[in-house]
Amino acid sequence: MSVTEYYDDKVVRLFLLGAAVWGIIGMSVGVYAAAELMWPALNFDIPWLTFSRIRPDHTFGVIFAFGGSALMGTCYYVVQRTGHTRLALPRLAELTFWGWQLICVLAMTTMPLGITQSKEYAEPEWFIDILIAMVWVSFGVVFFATLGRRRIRHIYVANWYYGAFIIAVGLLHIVNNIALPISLTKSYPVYSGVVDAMVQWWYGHNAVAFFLTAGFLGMMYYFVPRQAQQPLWSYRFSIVNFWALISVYMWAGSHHLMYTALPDWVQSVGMAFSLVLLMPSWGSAANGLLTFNGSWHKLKTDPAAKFMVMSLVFYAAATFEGSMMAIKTVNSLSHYTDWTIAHVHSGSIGWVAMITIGSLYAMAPRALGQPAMYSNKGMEVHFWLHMTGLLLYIGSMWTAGVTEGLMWRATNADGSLTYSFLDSLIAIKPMYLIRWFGGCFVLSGMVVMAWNLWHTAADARAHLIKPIPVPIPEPEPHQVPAPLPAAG
Amino acid sequence: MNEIWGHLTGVIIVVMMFTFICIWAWAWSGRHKKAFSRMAELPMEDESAGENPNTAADAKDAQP
Repeated sequence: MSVTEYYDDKVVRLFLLGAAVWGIIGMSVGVYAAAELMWPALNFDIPWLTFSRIRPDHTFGVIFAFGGSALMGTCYYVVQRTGHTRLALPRLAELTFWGWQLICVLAMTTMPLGITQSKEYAEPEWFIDILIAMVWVSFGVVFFATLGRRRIRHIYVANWYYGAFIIAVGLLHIVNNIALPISLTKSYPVYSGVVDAMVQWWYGHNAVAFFLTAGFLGMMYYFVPRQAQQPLWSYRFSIVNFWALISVYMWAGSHHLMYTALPDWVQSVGMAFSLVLLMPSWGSAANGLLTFNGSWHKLKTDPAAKFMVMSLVFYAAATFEGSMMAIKTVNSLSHYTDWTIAHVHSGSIGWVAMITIGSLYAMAPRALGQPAMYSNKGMEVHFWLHMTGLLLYIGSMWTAGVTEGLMWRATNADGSLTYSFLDSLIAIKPMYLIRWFGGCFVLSGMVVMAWNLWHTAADARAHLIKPIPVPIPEPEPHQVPAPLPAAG
Repeated sequence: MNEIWGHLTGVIIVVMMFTFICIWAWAWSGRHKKAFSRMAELPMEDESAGENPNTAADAKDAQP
């Protein structure tokens, strides 16, 4: 007797809610931080409200709380669909949701109070780091146990990226956060000096590589062909790009430490690998964009497809820019300027946020038991708010960055500096206003998305939706790929 | 730099290049073609009765 098996989308819906809420919180803090740079009096001389305290709240909020929730939610959705199986260990999966939310709340409340390791993107103190490691390992157990009970022998490429994301982020997090606690709220890393810097940027760069790239490429490789309703342009190419990306990315971290005490040859290795990295990056971007061949007309009517296409354009643009910025001579102009901020936000608001929003708009109706999002116009408005904000943001920061770089290196005939630091700060002040204004647009778009998701979720809140059955067809003779026996 | 390290890095580079070529060969080998073609279409199956959720007239905007 066969029993119908259903996809477990409850935890997916929870993470969807988490992503919508944390997106607004993380970006609100970012907008406030940008306002403080324009109008410094906005910190009101309150320690926990100063820029230095709330900046990590912004980065943690958007990367780990918003991005992390979206990644874990889509990962649970994709691994079930691409394996034709329900989620393994559903209780543990739900525990990863509540555990992750607890971590985000703890991190976001302790960091403004000054309880921090002062390691960029790894600020939370040791007791939160232990919680992160526990939840992350549980996330990996659920993911790989679900893969283990798949009914399609070949593991779909999106899962390769999700798998690499889970393994690498776990490794990076644990190695970078090995520390000796001296009290509940203070610990010291076991590394010191330049070794500490290198370990930190091995972590920091690979957090970009495996959290902000591999994870979101997993999202891209599933939701782009799904939304375009076209087969992936080249499945074979996606495999080559996977191995190239994960083997090259690990070695590029030292480009964050150009012209520092790091040995010169290590800086050169980072530069060389950063240039090679352009190839797998553009390979994936091209694969995603060419998947839209035959479906370009969807861009007229489908805002989710618009988000995806523009995300891939910005992925290609930001990775090209990153490789160029890793060249030592370019880095001498760009380093420590707002050009870096422009580059980061071209990657984060352009690539990461847009592929996330596109994927959430694609996934939400299915996970919430609806034929479509509540408002197509809402998605359209969101797209244009987001694009306007993005262009204002990166345009202003590029201008500010190049202005700073040129003013800082300008010298008079006698070798003295032409401009003081204050001169450069006054010159870029209008750009800080435009940046804040751009951030307001992006944040407004997130509010529109939350409103749209809230209405789309009306039936789910009223427990009116039905679970989706797993398609388990009878195996055909000589089926390719060969079927696996049903597990569990 | 010690001469042994030089040889070692050279060997590692050759091994990595060979591995990379093998990955290309594996991905492009004829025996995977059918499976990969099927896998490339896998995401398209996740639709309710062939309907694209975001291009269909949505719940609110379809109302007069």
